[in-house]
Amino acid sequence: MISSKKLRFSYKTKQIIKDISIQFKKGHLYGILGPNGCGKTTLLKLLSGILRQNYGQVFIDDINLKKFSIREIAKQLAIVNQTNYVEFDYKVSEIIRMGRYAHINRFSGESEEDQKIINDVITQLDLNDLRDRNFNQLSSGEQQKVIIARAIAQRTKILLLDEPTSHLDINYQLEFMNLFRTYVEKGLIVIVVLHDLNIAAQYCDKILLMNQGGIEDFGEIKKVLTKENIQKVYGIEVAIKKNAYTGSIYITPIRKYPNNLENPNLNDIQKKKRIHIIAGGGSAQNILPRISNYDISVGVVNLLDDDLKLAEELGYKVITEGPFSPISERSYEQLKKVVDEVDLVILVNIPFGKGNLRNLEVLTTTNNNVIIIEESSINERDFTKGEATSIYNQLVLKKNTIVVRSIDNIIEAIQKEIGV
Amino acid sequence: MNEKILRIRDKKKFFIPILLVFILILVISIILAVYIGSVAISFDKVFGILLNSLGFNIDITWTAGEENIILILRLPRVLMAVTVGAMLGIAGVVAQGLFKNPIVDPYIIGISSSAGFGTALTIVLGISGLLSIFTLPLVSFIFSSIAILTIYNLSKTKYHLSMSALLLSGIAISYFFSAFTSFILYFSEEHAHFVLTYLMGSFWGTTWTEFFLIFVIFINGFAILFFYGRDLNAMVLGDDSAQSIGVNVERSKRVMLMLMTLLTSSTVAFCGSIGFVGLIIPHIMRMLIGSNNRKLLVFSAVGGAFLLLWADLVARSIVPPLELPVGILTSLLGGPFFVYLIIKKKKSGELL
Repeated sequence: MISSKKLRFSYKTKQIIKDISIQFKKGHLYGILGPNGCGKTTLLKLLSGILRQNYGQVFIDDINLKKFSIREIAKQLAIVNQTNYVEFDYKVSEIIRMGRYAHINRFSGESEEDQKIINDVITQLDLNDLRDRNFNQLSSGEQQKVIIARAIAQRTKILLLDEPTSHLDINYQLEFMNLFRTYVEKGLIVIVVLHDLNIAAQYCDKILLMNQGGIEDFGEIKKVLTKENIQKVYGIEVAIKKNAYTGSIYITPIRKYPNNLENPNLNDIQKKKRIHIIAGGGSAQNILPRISNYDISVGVVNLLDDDLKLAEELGYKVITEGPFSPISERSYEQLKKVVDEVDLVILVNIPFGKGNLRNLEVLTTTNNNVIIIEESSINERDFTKGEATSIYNQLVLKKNTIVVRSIDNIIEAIQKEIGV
Repeated sequence: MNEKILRIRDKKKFFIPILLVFILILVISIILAVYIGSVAISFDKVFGILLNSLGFNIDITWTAGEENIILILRLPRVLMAVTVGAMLGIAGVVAQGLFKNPIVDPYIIGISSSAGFGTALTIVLGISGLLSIFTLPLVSFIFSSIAILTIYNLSKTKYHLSMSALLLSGIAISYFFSAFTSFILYFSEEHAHFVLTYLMGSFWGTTWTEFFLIFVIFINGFAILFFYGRDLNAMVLGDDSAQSIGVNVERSKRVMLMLMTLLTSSTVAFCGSIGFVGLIIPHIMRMLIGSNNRKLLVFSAVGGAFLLLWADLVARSIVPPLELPVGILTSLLGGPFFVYLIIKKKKSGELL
């Protein structure tokens, strides 16, 4: 176990690590995430004794790190740093051999055991073909692998890695993460600083999410990697899906349409404007990303509807109805209330049947602002024998209603209706 | 099967024979160097004198004058050249390893000019006998240490050693001490010529005592540095990386920096500035046997010894009866070599 207690570190006057108390336990793969400059690398260096904290302690198995010599620390934990540039020509085997430094007396050579460990590591990591190659002539993925091999050759209980997969191709990223998992299964503690949220979500047991030198959240993936946490730490909107195949969550950043670049204050004003979307059958997918700046609600949609899944991933309020059921009285009342409360209602280009006709009817009850997206004629979408068409034609004529022919004009229309 | 391949690939065993061949060539060169000189002494006599001095009884006769020439004039001088060459070779390995830069040597970073100033000062003040033979190397070491500590601290930032700061401060320190040397020489005309010639680098007039002192410094320095060779290897990936595998980086650096300074400054104290050996030799040896600093130290010692032995031989026989300061010769060799390195680096895109 490696733990820290009230760890603090400042560089000049800037506090880089603020009161971090944390425990990393045996047999777990930990991912450290957080935006650039949040102190991830510094935390690793403090845990490994490369940097000394201004305040607080680090413990390995409840023994204060300060009681260890540099050589003893190297027998307890190995760390792979971000840069591995070598000025001179060293062979791969020579680099890996360095990992045994702490175990070899200054005045003696490598023992049989050291030799065996080096050969084992080379075989385990499949580096036999590279062992006599010049380190500087390897690809960056191969170089990283050699440095990881060196760390493994230290035969420590704890392995710290600082962005070991950055700038590498996806095959190396996965290979390394799989490798770390095998060492975790062997009982090691592996702590990896990562920048890819999805790699972390897929491979790590627990996530430490850092923000501005402190712990934002720590624990199970689903608890830590939430829309709110990511929004707070990285300042981006994401959709979080569960991957049906792997069972792990999958995070997708949402594309922001840069409509307010000239006037960033607009973002805050738009956040306060409520828009309700009437959609269904997957029709909302084109419009939702474009209006993500506003406070959005969706409905009525049926359970199992694609639009419902999307709206939930995006964290919007949704009025729902049972799967494949017509809109009930209860949902209709809810919808009616919402339609009056919001600043704007958008009716997406959807087909109407008996089941969802009330989605159309509700608009006759309000005098609120409405935008109708009409990409195809209502006749083609009417499966109610003309009932929908007649309601629709009334709506189009109403005051405060705008009809747009293409979704590309939606932002313009919204601004015409509600001013922002 | 796998084991067998691994064992064949382990080229460790080849190094010993190569090293033995190198040492054999060196010994032959030493004998040759003792034989060659302005006074012709036949080869069998040289052999006889050498073997006799080692305690063997030889059935050849020679004059006392001939014995003096060989044992008092030539042999200590040749051995001095060999030892100083070895010292400069290993000091070069350490400098390049510590500063992680193949175009650094102890001279470029100002050790020679500071040690030279110490030497000049001691001679001009007439205090070279104050602590008998130890005065010169001690004063040189003190001034070199001041230089190296200044340069090191100037170029060290919190996270790394700035190469440009290192080279710039090295140049600044070099000029500073050179100016001081010129200053004191300007005001002491009676010593000026002697000191200038002295500092140009020469093994002329080496005594056995001087040789033994240098040899003791060499053996100790070499032995300690050899055991720090693994540390030097580890540092190639950066200080943090070295520390993470268990190297006490700060302590290792201090030890190696101090030894490098001691080795270089004591050669300057006795033999003046002999440039570029510390630059060229580690380079050539690295091409030959790779970058492993332990091996490199051993081979650079032998290589440096070999280079300086022959350089001295050429320097004293090229324009007889005059003797050329050997420092001039090594600089003549080293200048073009340095240019070659720059071109090579430029081609490989390392030089921006």
